[in-house]
Amino acid sequence: MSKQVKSSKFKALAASLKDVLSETWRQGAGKASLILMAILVVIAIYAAAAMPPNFRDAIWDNIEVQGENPSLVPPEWVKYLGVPYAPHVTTMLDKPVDKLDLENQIYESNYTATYNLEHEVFPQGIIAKGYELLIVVVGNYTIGPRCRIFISRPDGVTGLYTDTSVTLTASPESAWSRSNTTVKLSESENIKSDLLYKVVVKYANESGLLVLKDRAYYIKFSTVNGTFLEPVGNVVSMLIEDFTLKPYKYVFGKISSINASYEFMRGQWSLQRVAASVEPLAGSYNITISCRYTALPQAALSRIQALKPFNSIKLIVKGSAYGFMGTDANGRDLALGLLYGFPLAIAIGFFVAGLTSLIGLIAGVVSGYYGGIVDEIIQRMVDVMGNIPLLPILIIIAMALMVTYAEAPLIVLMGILTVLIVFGWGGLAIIVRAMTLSIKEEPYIEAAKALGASNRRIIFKHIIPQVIPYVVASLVFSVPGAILTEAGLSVLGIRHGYPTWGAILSEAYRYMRVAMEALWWVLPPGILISVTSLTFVLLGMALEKVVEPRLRTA
Amino acid sequence: MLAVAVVIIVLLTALILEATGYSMRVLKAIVDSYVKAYRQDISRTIRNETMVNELTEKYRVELEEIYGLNKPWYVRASTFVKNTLLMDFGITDREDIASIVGKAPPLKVSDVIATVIPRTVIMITVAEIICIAIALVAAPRLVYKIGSIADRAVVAYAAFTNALPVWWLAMLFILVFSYQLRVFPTDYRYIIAFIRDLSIDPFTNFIQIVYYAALPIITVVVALLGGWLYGIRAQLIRVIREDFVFVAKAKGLPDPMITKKYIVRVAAPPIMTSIILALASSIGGYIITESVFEWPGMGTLYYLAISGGEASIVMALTYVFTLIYVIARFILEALYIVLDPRIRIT
Repeated sequence: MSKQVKSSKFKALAASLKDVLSETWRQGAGKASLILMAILVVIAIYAAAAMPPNFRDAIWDNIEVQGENPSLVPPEWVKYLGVPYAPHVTTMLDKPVDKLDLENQIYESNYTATYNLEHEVFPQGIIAKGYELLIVVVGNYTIGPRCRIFISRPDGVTGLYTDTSVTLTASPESAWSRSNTTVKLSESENIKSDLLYKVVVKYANESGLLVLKDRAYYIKFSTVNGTFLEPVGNVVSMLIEDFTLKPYKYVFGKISSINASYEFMRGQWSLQRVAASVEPLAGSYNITISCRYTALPQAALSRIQALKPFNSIKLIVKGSAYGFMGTDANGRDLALGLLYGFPLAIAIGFFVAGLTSLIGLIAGVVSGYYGGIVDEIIQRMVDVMGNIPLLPILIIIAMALMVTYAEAPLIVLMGILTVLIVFGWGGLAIIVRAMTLSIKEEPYIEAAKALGASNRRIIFKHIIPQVIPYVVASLVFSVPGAILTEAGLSVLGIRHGYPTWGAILSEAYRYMRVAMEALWWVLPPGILISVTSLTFVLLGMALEKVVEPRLRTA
Repeated sequence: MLAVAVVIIVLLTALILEATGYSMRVLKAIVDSYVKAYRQDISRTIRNETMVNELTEKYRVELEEIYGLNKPWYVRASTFVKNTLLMDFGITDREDIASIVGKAPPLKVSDVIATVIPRTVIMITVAEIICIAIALVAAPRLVYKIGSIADRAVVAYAAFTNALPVWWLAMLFILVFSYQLRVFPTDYRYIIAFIRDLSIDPFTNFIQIVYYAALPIITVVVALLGGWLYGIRAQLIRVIREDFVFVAKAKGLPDPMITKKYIVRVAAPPIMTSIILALASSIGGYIITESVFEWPGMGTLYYLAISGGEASIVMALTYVFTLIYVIARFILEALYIVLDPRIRIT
């Protein structure tokens, strides 16, 4: 008996929902919104399935991953709009050209890559990482290679960029196996680099510098107050490292002028400040990573040659454009954040709207059908809730949660959503109550009662199927509210840690002064929030016309 | 009934602030930072370690007394509720709050709110009034042309802005009009000085206020106008479908007269409700939008108070908002009597 009631109840529900859907489909806005909704849901499901389980910590907030991307650059497709750009190139190098010199006990493996810079735009730098280093143990010592990066520029300058002696600690038992830590080969970007020196030498004559060894001597220079001075008596000199050039500038740039300011102090000229203006140099760059082992027994060297020092080396030239959606100021790939924002937004929206509607439905039906003290209590609760300023309370609670559970993003997010649910059901409850009150007085309810139908049967069989279209319309209408509120709270700085669209926007807002040119950062999350909300608003409007025929225009 | 709601809301706010330990936690952090600074300060002159510790501890106890940290949360909460209900909001000495007021701390909380309200009125309330004015003029014209292109455009515009967060529009407009096109200012805090000096040099300062308020007002109007048009249109449609309007039309009455006497008159009470309530709530400010503009209004004040754990201001603001709301409800009750002939004083 009860099973039958249940199935017929669901049939009635399904039938009324099906009617509503087909009516909605017949309207233009309804059709558009249903199609948009299908697209949203498909993307959300795809993203949810494709999202790595530990996306937030392993990728989104991982400094290592962020460091491999250029920061604050537009999407790669801006090149089709005619914007000059430096390409972002990631190369996996695994086929070294090696050289074994047994006589001098040297083994060297060289990885070479070419980077073509077509436009005069600076790339953001070079990064090299070695994977699976061979653990070489001779005697009691673990020995790592000395890895150097040489860059050969289109203007003929070739120099040493970085020089890293790889040290590794490993137990002798693990000898000749591979280490699973990643070795950074481009870290020692020291300012005194050989390449900087050679670049300065190359362009020095034009700017009035004479370079000897690691010192640069000025022949003529300008100084404070803009007066042009000839050096008097003392020779003024400066060290190469006084050039405070960022590595990417001297690697990919040509020096157009050098300006140094000096002051005459205690009988001699002393350097105050050196500034070089550098312009990007287009052309083809050869990057060679050379890893070398020296002074090892011949057997060991041969074995290294057979096994190769690294399984692979990742060489990245950070471009001036990246990926499908660009990057933010930290170098996060915005395409990923935006993609994984889909399931989060849909989940947040439906979770809040679903539970709000469910509570509103139950409260409204109970309040309207049973009346009395229950009705009174529910109505007074709705009164109080309706008069409470929700956003401030939400901010207080969210801040409290954020301070208390900084390490548990789920609790913070859930806390925010719970507040939204707790304060959100009042409006629907009032409507449902009013509908229940009028349905309750219908003759067929009286008839059902006369036939001995239980309250439960009347509620499920006669009241809820009639109320449900309204509830669904209200559910759809309240989905964007949750998404927008969550985004708004993020912008206020309430961070739960999940990469929602709101969180991306909040980051952009935090960097407003920096991000003012970065439309690719500010526009897409906002557009996605709006489109998602618009989908539900349109659907809600279409549904409203179905359940409230008086609103129909034609 | 409304008075009960006010008390309940004030109680609830106090409970949320104190029972969760939020305000306590923030205040503790503040006291700790003061104590640390004090310790560094005195250890420069006093070498004796135990004496430094003693003095620091004394200072801490003193501070905890001032901030009321030595009392349990329910005592603090009840004092807050009592003082707030008696309109005794206390004093604030926060730097950040004083900076948006434009004076040096300490300040009376009631003074803080009194200086900040006009700024929000200039931005949000003015924008609401503009929206309402446009909607009141345009919506009755639309009702006769339901289904026309203009009508559909309004509905589409309303749907679009409904889905558009105001604060995102604000970010976008600042980005485009202030930073890229440089038509409007980028730092809106200067409005403090212009409003303060309004009485000294009314003309120049008024021009400046208009210049600074223009973009925020445009943003809010663009975001809210659709909702107003749609809302008032919906109210009018509900009436236009009534039988008595058909009768009036059948009698051959001119359209303007039908609009005036048969439609607007009947739809007036619900429309008036939304107008009065919207104006009342606009005084509370838009927390997020004001923050985006860094507009030193009620919303920003509220946000600073909450994030800084300044319970006295949070309580005062909540109380003021609720009070304004209650007053608006009273005004409405009075207006209903005028607007709806079915309601009579009994």
